[in-house]
Amino acid sequence: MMQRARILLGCVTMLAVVFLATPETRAAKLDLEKLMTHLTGSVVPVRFTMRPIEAPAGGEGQKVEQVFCGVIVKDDGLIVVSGDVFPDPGGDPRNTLEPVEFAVLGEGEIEHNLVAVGLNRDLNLAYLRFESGLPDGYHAIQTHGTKTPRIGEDIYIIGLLPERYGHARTFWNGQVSARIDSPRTMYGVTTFIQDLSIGGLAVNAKGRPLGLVAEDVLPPGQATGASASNPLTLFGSLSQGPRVGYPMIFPFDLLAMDIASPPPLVRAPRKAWFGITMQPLDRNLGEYWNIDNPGGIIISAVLDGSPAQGAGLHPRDILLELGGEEVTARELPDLTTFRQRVEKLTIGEAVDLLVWREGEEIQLELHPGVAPRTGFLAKFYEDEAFGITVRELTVDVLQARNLPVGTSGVVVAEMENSGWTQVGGVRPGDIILRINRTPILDLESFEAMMLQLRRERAREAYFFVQRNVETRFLKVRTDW
Amino acid sequence: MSRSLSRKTRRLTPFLVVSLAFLASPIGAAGAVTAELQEKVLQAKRKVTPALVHIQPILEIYRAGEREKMAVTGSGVIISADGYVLTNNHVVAHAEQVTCTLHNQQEVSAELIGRDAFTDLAILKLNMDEVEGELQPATLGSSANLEAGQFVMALGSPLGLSRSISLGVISTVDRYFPESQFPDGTTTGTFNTWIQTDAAINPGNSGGPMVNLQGEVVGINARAIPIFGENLGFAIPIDLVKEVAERLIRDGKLVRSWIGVSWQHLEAAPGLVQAPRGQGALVGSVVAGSPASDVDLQPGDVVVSMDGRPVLARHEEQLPSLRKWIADLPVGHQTRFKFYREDQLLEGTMVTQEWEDPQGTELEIKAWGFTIRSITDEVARIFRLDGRSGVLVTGVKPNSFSFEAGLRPGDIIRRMEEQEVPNLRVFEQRVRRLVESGKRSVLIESIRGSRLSFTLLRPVYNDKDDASEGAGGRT
Repeated sequence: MMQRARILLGCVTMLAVVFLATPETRAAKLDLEKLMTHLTGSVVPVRFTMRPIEAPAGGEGQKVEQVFCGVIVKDDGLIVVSGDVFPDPGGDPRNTLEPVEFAVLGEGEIEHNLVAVGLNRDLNLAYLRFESGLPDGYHAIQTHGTKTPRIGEDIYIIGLLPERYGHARTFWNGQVSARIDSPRTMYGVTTFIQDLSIGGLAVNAKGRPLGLVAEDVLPPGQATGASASNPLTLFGSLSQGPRVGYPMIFPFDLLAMDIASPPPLVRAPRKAWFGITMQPLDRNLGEYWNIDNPGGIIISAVLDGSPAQGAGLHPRDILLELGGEEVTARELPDLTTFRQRVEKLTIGEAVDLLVWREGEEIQLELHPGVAPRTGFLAKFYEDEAFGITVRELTVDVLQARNLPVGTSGVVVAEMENSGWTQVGGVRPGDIILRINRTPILDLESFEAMMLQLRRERAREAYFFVQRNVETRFLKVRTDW
Repeated sequence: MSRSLSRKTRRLTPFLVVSLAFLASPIGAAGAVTAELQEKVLQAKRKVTPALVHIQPILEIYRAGEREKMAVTGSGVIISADGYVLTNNHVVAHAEQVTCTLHNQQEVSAELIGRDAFTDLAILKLNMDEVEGELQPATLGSSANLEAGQFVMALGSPLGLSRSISLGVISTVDRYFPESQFPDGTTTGTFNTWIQTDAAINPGNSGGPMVNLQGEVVGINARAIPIFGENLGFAIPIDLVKEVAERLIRDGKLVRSWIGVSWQHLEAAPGLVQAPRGQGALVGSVVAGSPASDVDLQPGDVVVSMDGRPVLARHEEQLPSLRKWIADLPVGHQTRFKFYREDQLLEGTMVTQEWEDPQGTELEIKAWGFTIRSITDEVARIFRLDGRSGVLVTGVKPNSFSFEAGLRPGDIIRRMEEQEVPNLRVFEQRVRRLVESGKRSVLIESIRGSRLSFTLLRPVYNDKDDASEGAGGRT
């Protein structure tokens, strides 16, 4: 009897052990500490540096940095990360930020530069790759042949804590709560998903990868408010498009094609361009010129070498028709409408203009060109040693400063306080024309020059800059 | 104990006596020196004070599209018995009337004879009919042999407190400042270094004399660093002052030569300089269309000689004298120069041009609520204009119809009523005619930045508006 009782007690105990084998108990089997240590080399903080697509004329625009959680998914250093920071095409370029630099933040101050290689706008995921291959200490997770999540299954999400905690790896634990099949297969989870777990890795109770934590993004127009977990809310009034979504687990099956061959990162399509600046023909001017029903746009400037100049358009002309359709701009917003009309024209395909010049109507034929890179598409280069960030010299900057088209150089965008270049007298807004005897033609030649100075560990460098209407030499001393 | 003390006292006595004698001796000498210095200061003060002038000009300034009057105070010094007074340009520039108070508190009106913004000097002439008694001009000394540490006094009217004297020493004889601009856009410090002193110089001291202990004027007080600094005053060396004063009295203005080069010292880029060590001046910038650009002088070239004389500007302090050398050449002078372009020694000849007054003429278009300035070469260069036609809008009165219509400071008016505006005078005449005719809509065509802008003014005239008030201004 006593023995039976002992056996029964043993069974009850075993049952209790089984019943009490809640996730915590199973987690002990998983060895979370070991798993997270291992995944430190795969679940990584990715810093995006963003600039306005279109900087204000003559200005440099603000710079925003944001860290997202990324997962290394391929041995060639491919990283999947949220695509939130890549703006939707068509937004106001002056209020839209575009990521221009990417880096994985390593231990200490080490950063590993990345390049953007792909973007899946449908899944709202971006693909980046290490610029110089997979660094030591990093490794890809296995994404082939992963298990399909099951409802009720325990799940761990490996993500990051905020910057002030050094982006330490952390986990959130929950269960698979739902399976959604449309518009794609994805899974809901019971755990609260915070900002830096978006982009994190979901593993099952055995530590096997299941998928990626992503957001199912609502199509534009359906959003009613920003999700608390949406990092875009951090940008306040900056309109990156109403990209609001619900956090879901995207199984790796869903990403297999992208991982094998990331969808190309397509920038907004190049727009057609005339190379003019304009002024509305408002009612006052219409009355002054005795135009009963004022229509047309005043041409204020024609850029040297632009399609408009090639067509024979002059400042003071009044554009009446574009492609046989009337043109009217009575107020400033009308110019935006006209600009959008121009942008949609086919590049290189002739379009007829009807122009009023000196009291006569004349016909012109214009072949729209490709809109040149402006401040908002300008590339930046930062040289930390010299404490300077420069930007491409774009056509809008030339126009704002009334400099001849064709002027070569780079614009000083930012300077480190008390950095070598600032101490040497270089100032934001200076246009760097030469360094030592080497002409600085563009961003690439500037970068090459900086690399050369670094390689030579040059004691001094002579920056030849344009400041306002004068040029001058500035001696920049180094302290390697 | 007492014996012991007594012994100690005896031992110490010779030492104490020697020590006291040692201490007493300098005190005695210092007393003598102080007395001597005091006497010299008083003598110098007595010598120069009769020449001291407190200046109260009424300035005519252009602000926010309007011409306004502003009373200021400054200092000056009489330099001749017939009533010429030296002062700073920034004290009396734009003065429509000047009243001078002499040392004996006589108030005398004065006329502006000439002024020179580059050296910040001006010459007034007292109305001798109002002067009672004889004037006692100051003795102008020399700044050639001044030495740091030498005692000097600054006299003038700091903060309007007339007949003030401060004493100090020369801190350095050739302080260099890069050329700097006054709020009216004039540049100073182009041709001189400065005598720095710790004698107190405050606003209102401007134009007053800096004198040595012989009572000779060795500088004209001109500037100070009142913020973040104490006892940092600066005077224009008297040798330059004498030269400028003589030319202003003789011609009413200074004519200078210009070649269109912005110079830098060699130390700005020593690694780029191939010239023999220490020789030459670096070309930093060349104005398009200038004599230097005509002979293809380029930034980075190092000019080593002009007219056979070596050019030396290794340090910044040497730049003002180089600029002055060129400015003092006769206009139209053919100057031969040698220069290094990298390691090649080249030669050239250029013909100097007259250095134009960069400021031009300013004018108020009162009936329309804005102010304009003529287009000088300098303005054309700053705004990158192709030519000098038009007028520059310098201010627009807030809430005026011109402001409402969109006219803004910095606009270059090139056409009005579909007609070219060649210059300020023609613009002024046309404005007068339009105001007289009472025209209610006026089309202005201006350049703003790099683009053309049409502005339709809708003038509103009050009954009191008069055609004669249409425009008025100064040069």
